[in-house]
Amino acid sequence: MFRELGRLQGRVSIPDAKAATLEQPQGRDWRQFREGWLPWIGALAVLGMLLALFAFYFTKGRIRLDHTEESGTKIQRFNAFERFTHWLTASSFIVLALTGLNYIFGKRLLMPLIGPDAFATLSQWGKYAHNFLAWPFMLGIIFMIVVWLKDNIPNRVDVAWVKAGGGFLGDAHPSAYRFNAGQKVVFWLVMICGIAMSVTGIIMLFPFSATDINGMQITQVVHALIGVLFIAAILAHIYIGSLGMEGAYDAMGSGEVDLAWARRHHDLWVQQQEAKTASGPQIGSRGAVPAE
Amino acid sequence: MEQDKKGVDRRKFFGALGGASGVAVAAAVSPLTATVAQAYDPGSAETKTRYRESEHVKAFYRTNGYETLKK
Amino acid sequence: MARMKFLCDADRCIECNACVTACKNEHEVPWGINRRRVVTLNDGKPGERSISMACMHCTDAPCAAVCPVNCFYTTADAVVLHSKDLCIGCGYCFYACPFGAPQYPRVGNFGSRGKMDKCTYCAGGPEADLGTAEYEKYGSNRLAEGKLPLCAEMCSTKALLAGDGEIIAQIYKERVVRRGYGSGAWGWKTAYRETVAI
Repeated sequence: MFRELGRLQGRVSIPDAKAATLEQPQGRDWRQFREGWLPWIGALAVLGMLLALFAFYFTKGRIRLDHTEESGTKIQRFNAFERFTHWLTASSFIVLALTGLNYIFGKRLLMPLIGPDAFATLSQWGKYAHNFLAWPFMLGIIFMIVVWLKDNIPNRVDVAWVKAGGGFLGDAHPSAYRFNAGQKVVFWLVMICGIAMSVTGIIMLFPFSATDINGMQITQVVHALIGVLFIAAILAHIYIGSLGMEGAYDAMGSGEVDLAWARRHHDLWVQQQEAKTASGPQIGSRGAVPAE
Repeated sequence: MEQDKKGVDRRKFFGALGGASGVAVAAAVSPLTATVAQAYDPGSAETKTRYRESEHVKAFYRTNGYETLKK
Repeated sequence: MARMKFLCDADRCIECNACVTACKNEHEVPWGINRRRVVTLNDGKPGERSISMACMHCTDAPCAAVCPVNCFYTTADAVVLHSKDLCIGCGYCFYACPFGAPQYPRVGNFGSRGKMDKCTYCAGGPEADLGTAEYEKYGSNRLAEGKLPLCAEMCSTKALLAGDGEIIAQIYKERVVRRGYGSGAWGWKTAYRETVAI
């Protein structure tokens, strides 16, 4: 695919370098990808993940909050800037994901429902949103590296966590520092996919400035493939952070979580926090100085 | 006990929601198989034939062919 | 029914670029947009050939297939046209087009493209024939006037042929037979899945 076979390259007297390509049969391969494979890959990834999440929810249900004597006491898990970083990235991601999926599925699902004119207007705004919200998304990725990289370096505790099934598949609650192995996977997934989407996205925001026609085609293929897988993965992240686990949403909502929940899921991190705040109570007080 | 009962209700609520969205997704996906990329149809007036073999066009064909040089 | 095609007799094209100029003038095409261009292969070497290329108005057009808003349509003359009211300027048609026909005005930051513009086979667009709205968006509609694309009509060496595919194929065949050589109908296999059998 996309080999430079059969491409006819010549010379033109106009200053548009890409006009010098007389014929590029690779366009047919790109068409085959975009119209033949991508809708199936995208539908399989997104719907497959949704089905898996439904199946998990109906067989296993929510992971409940255990009530202990510490229930009701709050501990700050994410400070205001961390939450801002999360929601900046998350809100732009959702718009980017929906407008991105619109490029693939819009004409198949939405256009028959609302008609060509309304759909074209919507897609036009969707394109603007996709192009402009890419920048806050990339800023969010950079902020995430700054605030969370140090807590996401894999260590020995993660091995034990994975062996115990993360308390997700099994019933145990293995030890974890601030982020358990599962959360670290999400972090690194967001980093790798986010950076790959950013790089390919920037190449497409400045078309033909970095590469030629075949390079643009490959860039679009990479962007689309990683995009649909990224969306599927984030669906799982949204599930576990809201519906899947009781008490988890508070961490990114109010920034404060139930101490009982924290001790259950991040026992080593709670110990660290308690050691840090031995001189001044961080636990249970509102407006405390972030533990950084 | 009362709290447990509430929890069950909520679970049922999400179950119903899940079932409903499953149906919605299935309904939304069904045209995926049916629709092959089709250009839109702007109407018969726009797609009607415009080409006609007028004298002008015939002159073009005549002057471009060798056969006319003999005449 | 006649199927419109372009055929560039590369053994006759002298790269004068008059077709490019005529096209730009006829349709008042904005700066930076070339609906037609002349590409020279093997420039300065033996076997040098110049080919005038624009939209070939393909059978089963790739641009129409990949368009995310389905703004393309094919007329009864087999001319591939599009609606600038629907086009969102995503650039996908340029990735898919084997001939590099779609053109975009640059309209702002981040390399953002405006509505796509391409060769209309001098057949206008979805607006009413020969109206001002059609002219402003798509240029003139010579086909509706009973004429052929200006690029072919004014070609000084009669290299560029336009019109009914069967008739221009016949003209080209006669030329090849008479003179004894011909480099083939450029792009026909890709665009129409057939070529001119000599």
